[in-house]
Amino acid sequence: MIIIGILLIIITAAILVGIGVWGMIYNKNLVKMLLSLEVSFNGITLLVLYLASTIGILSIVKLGAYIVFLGIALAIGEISIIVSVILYMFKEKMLTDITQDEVRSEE
Amino acid sequence: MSPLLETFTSAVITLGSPFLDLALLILAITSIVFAYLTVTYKSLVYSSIFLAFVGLVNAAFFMILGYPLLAFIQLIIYVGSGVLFIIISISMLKEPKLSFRPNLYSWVIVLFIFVLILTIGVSVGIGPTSLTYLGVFSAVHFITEYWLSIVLLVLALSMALIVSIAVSRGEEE
Repeated sequence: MIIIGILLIIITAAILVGIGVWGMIYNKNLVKMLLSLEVSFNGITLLVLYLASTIGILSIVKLGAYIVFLGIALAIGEISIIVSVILYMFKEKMLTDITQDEVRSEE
Repeated sequence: MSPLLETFTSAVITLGSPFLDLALLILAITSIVFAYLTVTYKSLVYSSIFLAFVGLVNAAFFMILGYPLLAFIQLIIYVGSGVLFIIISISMLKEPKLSFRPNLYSWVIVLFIFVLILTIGVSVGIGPTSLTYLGVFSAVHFITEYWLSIVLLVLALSMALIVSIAVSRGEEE
């Protein structure tokens, strides 16, 4: 029973990362790409914590927690910077689609 | 906290409990559904809200894995500030028309990543050590001791989400 539960965590992490990468490749909107990246990030943190807790050495358990804590802090910084850049691009150049090469006229 | 709720919490988060597997199954399905909705939903605001729910479910996973403090950090910092920042910022934008065109290559890439991560996870070992669940008992302690704070946190986050939806919807009308 425990093994089923632990396998579920790995499968969930794998599917989250897969969905995130899928969305990053096939979404052309910058905001959607950022959201897909965050889905991937959630999967990665889950996987890192699972690996850290499975190895069973106290220092590695703590190391996993430190890595994920650092990751969350970096993710917040990344979100704030990227969203600010997207807002700037939208307001100054009216661009939110990475395939656009010309300034979109206001509708 | 009532003794009934305390008993239920201990039963759910206990090594070898069938409730743990059931809880993990529900969390896994919820997480995957919300992640899929985040990527494919047409409205950017609602996509961000689905991402907030993915973060909430991930916090529950952290709690079960034995990292209650990280679960609270995930709730307070990641969901509370990061995702809400995205929602409020997007509500300032005029939403563009989105296109989502998956094809065969995307499924191949997803399958490759899925198999890769599954191989890494299984090769490390699928048996939890006694150390893995050490933190689970402190998680129960957190829930039983600070249940009022958790309820207030959930209410505050829900209110913030509702207000952000109202602000974004109100701009369109």
